[in-house]
Amino acid sequence: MPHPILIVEDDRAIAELIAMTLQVSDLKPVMCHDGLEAHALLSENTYDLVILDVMLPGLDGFSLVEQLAGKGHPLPPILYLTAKVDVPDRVRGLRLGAEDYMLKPFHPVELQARVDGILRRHHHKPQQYQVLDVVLDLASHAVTQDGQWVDLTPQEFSLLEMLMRHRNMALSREQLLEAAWGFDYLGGTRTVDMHIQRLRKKLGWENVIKTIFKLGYRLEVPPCG
Amino acid sequence: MRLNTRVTLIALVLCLVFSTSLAAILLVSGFRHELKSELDRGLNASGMLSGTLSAAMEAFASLDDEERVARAVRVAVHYMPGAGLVAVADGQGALIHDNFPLEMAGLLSVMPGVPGQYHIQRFEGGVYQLIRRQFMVLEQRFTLFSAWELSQVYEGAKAQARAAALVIGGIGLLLWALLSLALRAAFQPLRRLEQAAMLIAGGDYAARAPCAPRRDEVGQLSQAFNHMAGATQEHVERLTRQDTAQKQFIADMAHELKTPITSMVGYADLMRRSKLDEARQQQALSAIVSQGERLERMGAKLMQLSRLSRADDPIMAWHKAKALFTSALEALDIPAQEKGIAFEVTGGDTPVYGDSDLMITLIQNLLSNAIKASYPGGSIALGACPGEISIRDEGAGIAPEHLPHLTEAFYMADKSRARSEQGNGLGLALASRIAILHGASIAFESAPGKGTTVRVSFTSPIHP
Repeated sequence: MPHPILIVEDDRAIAELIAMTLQVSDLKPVMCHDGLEAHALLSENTYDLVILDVMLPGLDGFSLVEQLAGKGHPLPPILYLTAKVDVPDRVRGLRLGAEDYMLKPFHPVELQARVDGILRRHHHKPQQYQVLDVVLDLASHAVTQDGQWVDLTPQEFSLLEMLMRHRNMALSREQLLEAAWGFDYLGGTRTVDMHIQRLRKKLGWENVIKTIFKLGYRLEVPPCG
Repeated sequence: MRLNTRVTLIALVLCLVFSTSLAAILLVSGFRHELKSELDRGLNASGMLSGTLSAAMEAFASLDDEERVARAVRVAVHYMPGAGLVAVADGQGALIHDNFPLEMAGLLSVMPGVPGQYHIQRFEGGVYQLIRRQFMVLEQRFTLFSAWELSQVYEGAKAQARAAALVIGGIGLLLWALLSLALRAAFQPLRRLEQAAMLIAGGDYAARAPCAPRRDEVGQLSQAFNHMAGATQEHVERLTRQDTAQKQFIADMAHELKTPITSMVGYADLMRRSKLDEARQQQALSAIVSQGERLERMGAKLMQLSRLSRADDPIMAWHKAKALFTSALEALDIPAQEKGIAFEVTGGDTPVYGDSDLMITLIQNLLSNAIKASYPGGSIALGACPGEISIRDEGAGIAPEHLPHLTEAFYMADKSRARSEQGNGLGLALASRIAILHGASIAFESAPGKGTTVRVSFTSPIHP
């Protein structure tokens, strides 16, 4: 049973934005808006991940982590969220066991990717994605549908991995191109369309991978539970 | 060349030219006088010599010419020790006898050609007066050539000239030393001034020339320089402070803009990319609108601030305090009714001198702070008395460490509460600018839990 994710951010609009983004990925967020409250919550409950703003009323993010670590309290992985760009601050954060850093302003897709990465690294999730009857296994680099092996090219595999990671979130053709072919690929975004077509055909997912007008593609999954 | 070297050189040259010419005039006239008396003595002596010769030759008349001339010369020279070199010739100038040593014989060939004449001749390192005379011995005519040593006169003159040169040289050296010392002392403040100027040019605006307590031009220059340096330092410091404040303002503004923009872009992007249910869509849209409004308010306040910075002339007039309070309450951008706050006005008939729009903005900003600080159901007192407007709330109060920073742009004592109450940290900065424009000052009296009183004190006329 996965634990919730704690969001510590004093700006309510941003806290709710983060919560909403996590809900899109079927995660359970809990919000709090100041450092002392966060201290109490972290001391009593278990979380899979803390998304922590550094500048907080009551107790700042770094001090909060220092205090909890000082008491030998086991801490969940921490994703710092900050507007500060200073290198010393980042170093301090990483020394204090920050799992990752995210600078404001951030985009929901970026947040989703980082959260997914951290949760995966910490084995809260298996090394595979499952959407409907399709399972993509990261370790063996294999895709099965209903237990049957599906033969995919490396690009199709990368596209599918990206779409599954960001399920319910539309990705632009540029984002998909970069994920599957890398930055320096010179082909146009039409390549993405061709590969998506083939992927849809191979998986019979004509209605699951939706084309989003003027943007790109979205893997749509009905919310589970 | 440095100025003191130049002055020293000019003074030295003038002094040397003057003393040298004086010495030359004295030496030359002295030498002339000496030479003249020596020549006269030679002439006298040669006259006496010719007399003596004539007498002696008369006495030796029995002898032949050559013999008696030789004897007469010996006698004459014996009796006149000063007469050294003597030669006697006959009436036609043919030499009969001479006592010139061999090495001096050359003088005989340069003797004057006319009797009674003399001239001065340099010969073999010496100087001689050569005289030609005629004398008679028993109707027979003879010529006397005599040479008189003048070397001592010339040597004396030379020795005097050497002594004078030494003295003048000594005086010159002494003068040079004294002038150098005096000028160095006189120019020392200038050198210090130069060093101070270099330091200032290098960015050390606190550098000063040591101020000599002298009342001369150099002392005055040092004082003027220090005065200038002081003014420059003050000016630079003011500019630096302004620049720092400006940079801080821009950095703060960038930070304050970043937060609403992050949420606006974030919500919009999330809506675009994912299928949110209706409730969440509404939530996202509300967030976008409220963050947009936050930016709008900030923009409006910034516009007001920048308009004030350009310091257009306010339209000054007398207004009743009550009218200003009422307009400010109407213009409030935050709801006071929701909190159920009661307003009490005292001294409403007091006249206030100022620009009505600006005064309303000032009071409105102070009021909106008071409302934010107040607890629901609290009361706010608006007071006016001649020369002062005050606004008192019974709210949360302000911790002492925040008091000095309240009028700084974007300063928020409690950021998250200020944001949730739609604050942007610009209201008091704006109020303070308006007060400054009216020649007024804003003072805060507050303690946590004790409420806050803000007083705007005017220094302008307090009665119409």
